[in-house]
Amino acid sequence: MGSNEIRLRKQKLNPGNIARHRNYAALMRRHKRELKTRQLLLVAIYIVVVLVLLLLSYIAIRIEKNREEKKTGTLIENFNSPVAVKR
Amino acid sequence: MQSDDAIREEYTILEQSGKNPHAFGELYERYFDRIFNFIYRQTDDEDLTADLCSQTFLNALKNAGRFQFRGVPVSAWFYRIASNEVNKHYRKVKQEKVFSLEEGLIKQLIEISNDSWSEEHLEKLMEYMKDLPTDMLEVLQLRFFEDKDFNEIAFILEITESGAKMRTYRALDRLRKKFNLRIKYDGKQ
Repeated sequence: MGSNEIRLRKQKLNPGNIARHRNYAALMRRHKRELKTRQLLLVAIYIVVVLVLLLLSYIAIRIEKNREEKKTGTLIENFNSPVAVKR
Repeated sequence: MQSDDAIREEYTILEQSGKNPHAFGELYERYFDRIFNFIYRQTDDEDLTADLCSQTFLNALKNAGRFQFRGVPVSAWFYRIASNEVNKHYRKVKQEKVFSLEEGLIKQLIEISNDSWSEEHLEKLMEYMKDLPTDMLEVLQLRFFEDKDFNEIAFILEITESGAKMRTYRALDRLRKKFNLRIKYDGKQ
């Protein structure tokens, strides 16, 4: 069964009343505003993506640097070890 | 009924609107009143109708470039967006849907077999329509108040054409049985 409210009107909507709400210029303004918002959102998303990529590459470089430093440190340690000195 | 050429011409305007939004003005002016009336019949609130109508045309304009020819007039697409906007509104406010119908139009569409219209008849009819499922009322509204054919109704409500026919016939049969009415309908009474 439905759950609707049925109302009966004596009069049709007055064309003058409808014309009061017809405003194409306002629609165009809203459309332009929404387009701008969408473009700003796209730019913001683009900036965030670029920042995330930069951050990821920075982290990757740091990790690589740490690994290399550790490697060099181990080599020097090995060189100074008693076995290496005997030779 | 619109001719194929007229339908194609409107699609061309719509396609142009994707690149040049100002071209959309012609379609807006052509269909604003009809879409406004369509929404008003489902809200009975002028300000709310104005908002939903504006949102309908805004959505249409936003997607104008992407819309492709589907064998129905462009107006059917506007009705479809409007119908979705109305349903979205009712889901949001969680209220029962309102159908606001013109007395004159109802009297034109339905003739009482033996008697003339009285307040009692109308009240009974309203009471009965209240219990009709929303989907049947939507089909009846599009068929009789908006004068849409079944192909368009199917497109607007996103159902099959046979589904649209079935809903209409069922609703009309119920009306006939219950009220002994003669319904002016496609020549069939």
